[in-house]
Amino acid sequence: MSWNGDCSELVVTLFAETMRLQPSERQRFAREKCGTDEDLYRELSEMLEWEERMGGFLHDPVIKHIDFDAAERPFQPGQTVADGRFYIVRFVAAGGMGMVYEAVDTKHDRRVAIKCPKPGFSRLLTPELLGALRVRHDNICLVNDTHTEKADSGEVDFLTMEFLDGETLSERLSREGKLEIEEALEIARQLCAGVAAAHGSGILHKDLKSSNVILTHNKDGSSRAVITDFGLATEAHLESQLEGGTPAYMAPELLNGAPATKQSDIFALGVIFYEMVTGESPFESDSKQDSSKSGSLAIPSRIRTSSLWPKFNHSRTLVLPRTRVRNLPRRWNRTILRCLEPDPKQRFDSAESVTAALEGEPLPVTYELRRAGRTLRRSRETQAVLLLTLIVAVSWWFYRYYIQMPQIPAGTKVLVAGVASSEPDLSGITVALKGELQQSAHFEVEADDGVNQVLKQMEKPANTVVNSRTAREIALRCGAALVIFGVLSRTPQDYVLAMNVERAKSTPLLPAATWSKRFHARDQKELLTQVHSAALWIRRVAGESEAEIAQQDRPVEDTTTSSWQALQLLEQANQKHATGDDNAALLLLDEAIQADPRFAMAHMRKADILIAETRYSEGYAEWQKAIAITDKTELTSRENLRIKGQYYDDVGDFKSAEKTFHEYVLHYPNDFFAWFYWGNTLNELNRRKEALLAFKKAADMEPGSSSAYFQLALEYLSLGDRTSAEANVQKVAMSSPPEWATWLSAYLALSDGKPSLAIDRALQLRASPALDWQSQGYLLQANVLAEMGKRQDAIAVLREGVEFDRQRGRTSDQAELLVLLAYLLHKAGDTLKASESASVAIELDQSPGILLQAGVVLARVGEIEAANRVLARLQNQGHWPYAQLASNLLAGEIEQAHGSASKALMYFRTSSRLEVPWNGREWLARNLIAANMKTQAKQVVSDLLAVPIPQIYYLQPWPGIWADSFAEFTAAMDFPGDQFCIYGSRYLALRDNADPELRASEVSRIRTHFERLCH
Amino acid sequence: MAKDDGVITILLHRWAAGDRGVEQEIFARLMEDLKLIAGRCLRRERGNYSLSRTELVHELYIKLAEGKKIQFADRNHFFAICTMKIKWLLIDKAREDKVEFVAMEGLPEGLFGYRNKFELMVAINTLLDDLEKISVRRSCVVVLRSYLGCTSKETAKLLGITEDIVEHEYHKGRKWLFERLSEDPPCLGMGTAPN
Repeated sequence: MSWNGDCSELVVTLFAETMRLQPSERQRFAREKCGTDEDLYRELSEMLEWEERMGGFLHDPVIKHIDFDAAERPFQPGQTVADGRFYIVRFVAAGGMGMVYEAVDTKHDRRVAIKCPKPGFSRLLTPELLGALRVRHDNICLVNDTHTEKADSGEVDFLTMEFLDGETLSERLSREGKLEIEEALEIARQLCAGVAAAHGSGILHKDLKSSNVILTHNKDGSSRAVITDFGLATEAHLESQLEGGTPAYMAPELLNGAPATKQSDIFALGVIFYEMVTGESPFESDSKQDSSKSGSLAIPSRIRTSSLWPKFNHSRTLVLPRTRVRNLPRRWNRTILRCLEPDPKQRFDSAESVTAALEGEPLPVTYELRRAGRTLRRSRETQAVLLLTLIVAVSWWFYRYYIQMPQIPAGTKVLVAGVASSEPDLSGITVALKGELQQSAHFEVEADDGVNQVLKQMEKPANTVVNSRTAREIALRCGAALVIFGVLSRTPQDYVLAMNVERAKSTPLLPAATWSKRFHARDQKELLTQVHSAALWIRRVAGESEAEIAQQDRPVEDTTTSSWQALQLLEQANQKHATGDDNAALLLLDEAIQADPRFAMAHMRKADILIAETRYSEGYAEWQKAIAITDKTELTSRENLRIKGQYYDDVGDFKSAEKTFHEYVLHYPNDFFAWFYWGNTLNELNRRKEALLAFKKAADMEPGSSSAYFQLALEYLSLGDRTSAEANVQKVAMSSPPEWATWLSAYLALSDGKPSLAIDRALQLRASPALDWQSQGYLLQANVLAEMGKRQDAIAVLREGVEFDRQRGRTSDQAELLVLLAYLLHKAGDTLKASESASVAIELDQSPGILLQAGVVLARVGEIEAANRVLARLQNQGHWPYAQLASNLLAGEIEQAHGSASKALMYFRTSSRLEVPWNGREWLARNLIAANMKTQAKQVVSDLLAVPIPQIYYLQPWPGIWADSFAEFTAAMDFPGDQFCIYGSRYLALRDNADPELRASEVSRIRTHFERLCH
Repeated sequence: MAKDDGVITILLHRWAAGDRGVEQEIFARLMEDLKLIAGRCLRRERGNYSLSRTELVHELYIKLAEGKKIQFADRNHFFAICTMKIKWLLIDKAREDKVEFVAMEGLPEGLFGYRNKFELMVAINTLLDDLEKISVRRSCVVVLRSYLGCTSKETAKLLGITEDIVEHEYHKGRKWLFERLSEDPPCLGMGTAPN
């Protein structure tokens, strides 16, 4: 592109001058000005000729705004229509599909409303519809008649109806906010009565919303709620509404293209009721989802397929009514939630029953059990981690869930509420201060994510400007003992950093005690030194000893960066991340890294975001960079050690992970995390007794922490101390949501050979109010049934679970259950259905874990080509560790299916770290047996069977894996007698009631062997 | 005005440094602002041009570029493509029947050909995109004057050129479009810049 300068200056000037004259004078003027310069004259004259030829072309602004009102209103006040019968008094309002006028019916001398459609909706009034409009009910706007009138735009059909003097419910709500419960109940009753009457006559509304409800008064002064526009909505209308992007009242099935039903009207009623009692809309869009999938709403229904629906479903999240209004009566909460069930079958069957429920009639028990708190959703990220680090993931997931509970005191935490800066360039000062404070072994700085979580619980946006009172409230909620504020200002002479430390009290109104100090700096460079001094002062105020301080006391350029620009960019990136704009955050982090390539924290943040976005290879690369930098500076801070350890753990370098976490423990012996993580890595290395001690230490440090008890229960179980394991399950039960203990005790029962007890526990989970746990309930039940050798029952339960997740748009969980279903179908000999389920799972979710499992099933049922395609997909996911591990395992599986045991072995060996008892061990064992390497196989198998059942399910989550492996491995080779007897008795207890064909073959073989060997 | 201060700044810096790949991202992030400006252009009362359109359009540019101390080697180009985006936004509005094209008086019959007014405008828009490839300044002058109704003076101020040059460019631009529109069948392809 260029800026053309293709004319001589003279021509330009002359032409402009000429054009300022009247057209008639231009030629003469040109002639005069050009004198004897003929070339100049020719050029100018040609331009003028062109001007003449072009006339007004593009001379005036070419577009103008249409006057909507004039263009779209068919009638004007003062006009009469229908042969003079109706006198138009005024234009009242324009609605979604039509315009409303107030008019006088001169024939009957009464006020009427005239409703006529907007252009484009002019032929809505079919005879059937007219019949429908005659439903007579107090709470439905009564339609009198239809007429046709000639208007400028052609013939216009219009309706006359009773004139309702009042405002719409929507206007009322936006004016006054939520209604008192008594009034809401009265309105709800009337709306239900109206809807019930219409439904009774076979009429659906199809477009119920608060702006279609008019609040008016009866003659006796009592209030009356009237529903308008009954049956007027058409598909076209719905679609146009959808295009508008606020299908807030539409039931999920409508958005999916299903026809309207009574239940979709009831869904809309639920939305209206929700608005009445909370003053807000029930759905909150998930900003992250929205940004990545924006536009999904604008897809016309004809091309909106069911596969797109789950995406949509994800993009709106229901906020529980009681989250918005804490003292909302339970029956309102329950009734609204049932109206808003995604599954139409779960909603009320009639509008009358909605009224009954609101008035206090109990809901059916089965429904109550299923009622869900549905904002919990296991993220893809969590899921990837689950597959990634097996048992570590259990505890981490558990812990993640757990730390969100603000009532759990987390020990010596401090909250850095931030340093307000009058200088935008220095807004990164908070980052620098936090970096300095994070060195402290005495206290722990509350992480940004923690603060954001608290803000969310406080229903404040993540980018809230935190004032002192809010900061105190955050501190109370996250259990921080100190709150640190600062103000950075600039005087003509210097910068002044005023720091303030408060000790938190049990109320956010006032602090228990405060300390303050000012720090002066002449320039920005000195300010960095003063940030360091301020941090030192805070550490002392907090009671950290000089000896402790001396151990970790590095300047700002080591803990973060000496570039104010980089600090500022990181601060901005943090804010973007908090508001969910990760693309922007990544961009800002790139800039921060560019400003200071040795800014380890920026690399770490970038890695975190990339990993959370499942961009693993890039994420791990960033982590590597961060670690390389911190290794060089020998900087130890909690964050560095934690991240480094996690990185090694993720990449499968468990020895380095153990070393790092051990260092963490040595540096920060008062840190719960240090012991907890160290315990996990020791556990991974099969150093169970040390792991037990580490978890004990962690539990001592935070006596309320159920994650440590959870781990302890597993450790005791693996060490054979059943009583201590049970005691820790009890502690978990007391200190965390009940589901965790239920989950643990189900697997404990399985280990004890008490499958029916385990089934009871699974059913308890299925009755949990949390969707995640309900889904886990299906999984658990299927696992237990499969361990019992009841494959057909397990298949049926998994199918139910798949359907459960499908209906709720829980795609990842649906895919997970589908691969397990595929595995069971394969085990049951149904090859066709097995490969079908695996294929569907892959379509739903391409995360490496799902690809691996689906690929394995495909390979095992002989669909080698399909398995190879899956392998290619896995290999395309880059070189991050889990993707590589998964690729190797699948490649091995495919080789095995080809019958090349030695090649398969190569792959399995690569994937199996021999110091770790579980990674890839089941594959290895099977392959060693296939390769007839029985001595080695025996060792692997005996390690494998020793893994506690809950852990084995994270090792290899195939339903029935423990009993199946036992049967398979004992059939393939001789097993040491004592081991056979221990596990054999468990096997027989589990499979006592197995499916007949299994009992006749496998079970009877093992029983015979057992009776010969063990009695 | 733009919410993503930090991000926009970075993107603009990258753009100013010659990274044209970020253009789409910039405009995606500016879309709300651009729509606002387009909307305000539309809302003005016809015949009353006293409302400063210089400010309207400049608002975007000043706040984004100058306000952020960005040294644009090519500030006019940036400004021009903002304007071009607005041009298409206006056409979108027309598509939604939210604007209409006022009569273009004195146009030769042949210019419309078989086109209705809307089709003619789309054709002009497309041609302007082509013209932009040849001379950004020229197409920008046409858009500012014909679409946004800027006066010669305002256009000159916005583009940092003299009023005389505006007049000249406006003539050249219109002529270039007119020639192509008068061709039969209407030519929508590339052309060369006439002198």
